[in-house]
Amino acid sequence: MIKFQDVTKIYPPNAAALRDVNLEINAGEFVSIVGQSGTGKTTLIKLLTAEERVSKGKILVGDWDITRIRQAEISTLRRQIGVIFQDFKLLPKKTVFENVAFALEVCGARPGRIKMIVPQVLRIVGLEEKADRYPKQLSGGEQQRVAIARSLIHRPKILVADEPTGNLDSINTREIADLLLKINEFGTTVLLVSHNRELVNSLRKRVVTLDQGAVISDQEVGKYVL
Amino acid sequence: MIMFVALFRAIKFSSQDFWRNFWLSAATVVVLVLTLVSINFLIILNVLTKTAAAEVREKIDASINFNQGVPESQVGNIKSYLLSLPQVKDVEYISPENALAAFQERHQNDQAMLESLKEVGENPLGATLIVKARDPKDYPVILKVFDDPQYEAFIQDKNFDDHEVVVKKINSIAEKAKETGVGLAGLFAAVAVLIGFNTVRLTIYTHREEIGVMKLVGAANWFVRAPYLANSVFYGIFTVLFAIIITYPLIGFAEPYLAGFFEGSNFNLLGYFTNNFLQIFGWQFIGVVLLSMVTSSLAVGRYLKV
Repeated sequence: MIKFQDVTKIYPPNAAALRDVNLEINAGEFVSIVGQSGTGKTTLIKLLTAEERVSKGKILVGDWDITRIRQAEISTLRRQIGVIFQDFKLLPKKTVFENVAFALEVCGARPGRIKMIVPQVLRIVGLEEKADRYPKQLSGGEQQRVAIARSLIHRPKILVADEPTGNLDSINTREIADLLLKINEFGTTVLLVSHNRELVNSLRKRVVTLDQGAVISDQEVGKYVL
Repeated sequence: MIMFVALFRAIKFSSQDFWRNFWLSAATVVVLVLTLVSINFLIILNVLTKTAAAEVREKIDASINFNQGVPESQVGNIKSYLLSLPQVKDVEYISPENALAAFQERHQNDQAMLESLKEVGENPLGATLIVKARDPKDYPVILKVFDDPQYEAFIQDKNFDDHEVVVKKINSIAEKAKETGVGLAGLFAAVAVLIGFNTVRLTIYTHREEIGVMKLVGAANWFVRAPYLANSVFYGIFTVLFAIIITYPLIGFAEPYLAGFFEGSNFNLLGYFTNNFLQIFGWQFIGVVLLSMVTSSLAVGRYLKV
């Protein structure tokens, strides 16, 4: 599904964020990527979503080599990879419904399709009752669920969660983790980047540990080892 | 269909940007309107200069005064010969009687002149031919005809009032005014580019969150950029609209004064603008849209990393 082959990323002038990373993630897997700050976790995600380009090596998504992806193809790639962040990245002046619908609007979906799909996705994340609320009227966990709903709107094959529980309390963290597991059960490959030892250990899924830009551990049912 | 929906949304977002940044948009439109009004001033100046020069040229003619006693048939032959020349547009015959009447009228307040005319007793004036050339440059060629000995004996004198000096003066003044107008229009266009560039930059800055989300969820590059380029069309529409609203009343106000100045001619500035409405304002619309598009493209290319 996703293959990182000898991937190296060097930021000018000479800061290596990733060194010869080899990683293979199968379709439908749930993989946690852990490591201390500055070990290259976010760089890995940025390379996967074509926000950054590799300095050396190759990245494959399915059969698609995205190493030298053309500018015009990036939007197609991003519709296949849903991404959520620690800071949610919701638009404060739009309601829950509008925030989720925006992802379809900007990709040219017809109004009828938007009206049909958005409530379905909001139901999956348990927010159909709060469709008319604004982000500031929601808890942190609910805001993250809106972000997850938005990331699922294009029915992506891969969901990347970059520190999704960084701003949440333990109850909301659990809710988000359960939601990610549920999405994974539906067949979506989930990549969770996290600092949260308790969360990662509780998932009992594959854990890849990065240190100074290199993979130092890859366990099928792993634990946060650092 | 998807393309059509996306295009419609890009235009909708563009319209929202235009109104949400009203004062920035207004500043850009004002400077663009000033540019167009300067250009319209140049067009008016061009029409005025051409009309004035044509009017002056129309007044140029050459008078051939014949000796007293030259028979009318002889003058008629010369008139026919002149009319056969390709350079000659028209020849008017003034009989000695009419020449005398015109002379008396011209000097009706000059008692001494009228007295001396009475003393002469008979009409001292001969016939006159007023010759109009197709081109003022042809007068020397036409007048050279009368240097021929067969005509020389009949001719008392020949006058050619060269109004070309006046025409040159009009053209020179117009040229200077045109240079000033072009400079002014250029200055306003440059200011419009700078303001337009800054407007797009600020719009991108205020919408950075929205743009970030658009990129995150897979909006196509063209869709992210399109609203900023579509704004150019809004600038074009509003700028030309205001330019028309300003230009027409100005022409309406100035027209009676200008018409008085060009009395007798078929001068009609309002008619000129109305007849060439599409050509004038259509090109101005295209010009403003292109100018704004270039500006937006520069700003988007520099500040909007997709």
